[in-house]
This record gives sequence, structure tokens and C-alpha cells, in this order.
Amino acid sequence: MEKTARLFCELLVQALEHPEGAATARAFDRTLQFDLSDGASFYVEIKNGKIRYAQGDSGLDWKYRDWKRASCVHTSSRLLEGVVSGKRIISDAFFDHAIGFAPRRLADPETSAGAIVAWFYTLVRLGLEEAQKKAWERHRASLFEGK
Amino acid sequence: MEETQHEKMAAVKEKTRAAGAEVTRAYARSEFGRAIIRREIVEGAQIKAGDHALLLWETSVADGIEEVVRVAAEIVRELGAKSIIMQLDEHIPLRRGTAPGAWSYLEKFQPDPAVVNAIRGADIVLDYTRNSRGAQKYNQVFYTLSMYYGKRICARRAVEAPEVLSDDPEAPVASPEALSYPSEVLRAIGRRVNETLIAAAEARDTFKLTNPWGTDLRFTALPGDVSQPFGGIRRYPAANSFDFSGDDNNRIWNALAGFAMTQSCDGVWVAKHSTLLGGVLNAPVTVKFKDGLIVGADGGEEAKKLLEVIADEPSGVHAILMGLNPKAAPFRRGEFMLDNNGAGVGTCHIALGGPGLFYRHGAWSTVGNKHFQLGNIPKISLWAGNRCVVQEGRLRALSDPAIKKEAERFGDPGKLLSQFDWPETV
Repeated sequence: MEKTARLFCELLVQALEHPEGAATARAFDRTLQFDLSDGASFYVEIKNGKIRYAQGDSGLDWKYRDWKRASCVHTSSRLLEGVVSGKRIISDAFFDHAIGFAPRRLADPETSAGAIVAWFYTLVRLGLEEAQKKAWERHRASLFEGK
Repeated sequence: MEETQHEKMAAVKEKTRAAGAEVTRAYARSEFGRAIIRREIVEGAQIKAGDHALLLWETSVADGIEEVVRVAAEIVRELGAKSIIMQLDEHIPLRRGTAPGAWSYLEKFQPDPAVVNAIRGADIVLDYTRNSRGAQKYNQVFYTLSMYYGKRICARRAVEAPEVLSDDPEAPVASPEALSYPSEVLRAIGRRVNETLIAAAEARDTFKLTNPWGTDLRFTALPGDVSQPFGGIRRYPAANSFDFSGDDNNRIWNALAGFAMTQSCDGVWVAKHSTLLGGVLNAPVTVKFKDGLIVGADGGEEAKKLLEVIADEPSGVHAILMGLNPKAAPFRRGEFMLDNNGAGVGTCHIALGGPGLFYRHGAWSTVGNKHFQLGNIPKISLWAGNRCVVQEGRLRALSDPAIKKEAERFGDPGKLLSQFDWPETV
């Protein structure tokens, strides 16, 4: 798996350690198929509050057969690098045509596709907050190492 | 000095606006209006005791909304929540020559930082400003507030459809049965309509939409691009906080069904109203579509103007949505209201443009950043493959036994499911 993709997936995994993370992850079961314009595709499966990821195609047909189980995220390694480094807010990138989601309205007959997008963004945000908290804790501890 | 035509028109507009403001105030002051506003806050926004609710409104728009805000704030306090009222000169501007609902060159508009911080600090936002509806889809800041930070923003729900209000402050509600229509029945109608549309989309059938003005479109869509669950009618109580994302959910009476994005779309749409061109058109405009994009328009000066305004980018289909409320009649004194909001059964609008990337026509592309509507047109017929969904303005689902069973819980199904009659002249 490419480095940026793996970093991004690990950021999502970090969200599970956030105080709100476990409950957030359990809100939906969904596979997100990432289609990158400048890198290899990968997918993230979130099920029963657990996050699993792998390189390649999930094998799910998000357009027709499996539309109730899977969404496609079209973006780039470049954007994901900006997100994991904290330089870009992922939702802002939507307005720069740097990320898109399909389908657009229904995740299944009872769930709007917008709810899935907001859920995904929230996991990214919680992952970043958790990573920043841990980074500060490590930095704080390092200030007094050996003293 | 002789009054010019422009001055006469401006005077008429001012008189109409002033009358509309009085109707809005009368609606908010009425027992019925207050009950509907309360339902919007309790069932739609789902405010709880202890919440901090931010209410936004504008002084630059004299549309009577200040009375709605006053009543809403009282209700918020009655519910044990705290109301914080923020009065702005102007919140989100309307571009010159456009009407509310059009989002032209506003995708990167930066609202006042003080307002953004207030939204970040609130548990819930009741945004009663003129152009708030759509901000969470068509403006970067509001999209991020809603979708990334999970802020619950309820935009202009109270009196957004002119067809349900009258022009008489003595009797401000034209269609009380539309506003008080049981939300659960609308959910059932929305679910049934979606089942038909999804089945056709899964079978890769072609949809056909026509109306007596000459609209004739053929299109295809992915099953997941069929419109919101349950016609966008609220789930009460909400299953989770993500039910509030964006601004297409949590309605109580204004149910819509249709499509978010088409894979293919060819034909013509005949419009007599467009938000991008400021509202009612002087003459019908026939807009031509090929592969989901506007490729031409006929109909005089306004057709030319439309093509000029969108010339800088491709303008593609962003949504095709029809009303599901059988009581929200879109006419007044037998005349079709060209500025109706499309809540009623048999009406439909097409929306063009919207920021972002979309999967359409088998590839990722844009549909243009200028969002606007052509519509709402009356008496549509919609076919999903060989299944008729709407026939000459009459919704087939209203005679569905499952809908009838749901309606029985709320009253006489014969009355609840009987749709308004279209006037012959429409």
C-alpha cells in the first residue's frame, strides 16, 4: 500500500481512540472505495465499529449491485497528504473539485448519502484531534526526559 | 413628471413585498402558525432542554421574518433551551438579478467571522435569513460547518413555500391541510415513490418526464442518486446526529422526491421562472439538454441572457425534484403560481450546477458552480421505465394500499390521500 494512503487509513484508525470515536464509527457499516487520480486505489471497510483497510478494489459494485453497502471516494494522494499533514480541511477540498463522492443521495433506502459523507469527515476530524493530542503528550513528556 | 414603466413595476413589487411581509407576520402570530413553527423546532430541528440555539435574521430584508424569529425564540425558551438571537444587516448576499435559491459565484463567499464563530459555539442554528437554504451545499464555509464540524443548521424552514400562504393577512394560511399534513404519511409516500424509482434505476431503465408546456426529458440515474430517504421528511426522533447533515432532511411537510444527479439526460425543459434570471420570465424559455448539460435555449432575450450567464462553464443537471404533498396546491385563484416552491404533487423543478465533483455520464466531472432552478412546472408526467409514477400531475402512489394503511392511523385515508384538482387553465 502506498505511504500516503496508509497514513490516511491510520488516521481513520486513530479516530477510534478519540472519546467520541467508537460511537461514531458504529453509526454505519460501509465500505469506502478510494479512487485516486494520482495513485493506486484502496478501500476502507468500517463495520461494527471496526476499521479495516487494504490496497486495491473491494470487489463491491458501488454503482449498481452493491450501492447499499459501498460508496466511491474520488480524490488524490496529494489531497490525502494535505489532510494527514493537517494542512487541508478535507471538506473544503470538495469546493476545489479535489474530492467527490458517489452515489450522491442515498446510501441505502433509509440513509442519505450525505450522512455517510458527514460521518466519514467526522472520523477524519476525530482522527486528527486524537493524533494532535497524542503528539502533544509525547512532546510534553520529551521535554522532561532525563530530568 | 411621468412615472416610468420601471418605476411602476418597482412600485408593484414593493406593494407585493409589503403585503407578503404582513402575511408572514400574521402567520407567526396565529395559533396555527405558532404550532407549525413549534413542530419545525421540536420535530425538525429537535432542540432539547439545555441546548444553546442561535437564531439568525437580517434587518435588510423587510419580509416579516422578525415575527417568526420572535415566536421561535419564545418556543426555544419554552423547551428549556437558551435562545441567542443574532441580527445581521445581511448574511449571505443575493447576486444582482437573481432570486433566492440561486447560488451564483457564492461557493467561496466568506461569511462574517463573528457569525461563523457563533455557529461553531451553538448546539443548533435556526437560520431565518433570506438566502440560507442551500448554503450547506453551495458554500464552502457552511458545508464544512455542517459536514465536517457536525453543526446542526436548520435553514429557513418556517414559511419557505409561498404556495401555502395566502396574500391576505386576515387569513394568512392558504393551505392549512398542507402544512399540518401528517409527516408519517408523507414519509410513507416518499418511501413508496423511492421504491419505484430505485427499482427502475437498478434495472437501468430510462426515466421520461413531460408536462403540457413542452418539457420532455429522458434520463438515467444510479440507484443511489435517487432522492433523499422518505421524501426528506424528518425521522423523529433522529436515529443519529448525521441525520442532520446538509439541508435536505428534517422537513415536516415539504416532501420531495426525484434525482440528485443523472447519468444521461437529453431533451428540453420549458421554464417560465428561473432563480438565475430573477424569478418570473417574460416569455417561456426552452432549455435544451444533451448528455446532462445545457446546450442551448430558445425564447427571446431571457434565453440569450441565460446562455450568457452560464457561458463561462458547463452547466449540468444537479437535481430533478418533484413535490409529494397532496394538499400543497400551487395555484391561487385558479392561476398557477410561477414562484411556487414545488411542494405540491405534480410539480417539478430542475436544478442546474453545484460546486463539487460528480460521477456522471460514466466519469468524474463538474456540473458548474452556479446553482439555479428552472421551474417549478405543473402537471408533470413521470415514467420510470414502464411504470407510471405521476400521470398528468396526479401521483399514482396515493392510491397504493400500503399508503392507505399508513394514512388510516391519522384520519380518513380517503380525505388524506385525495389530491387537489388541477384547474383546467393550468
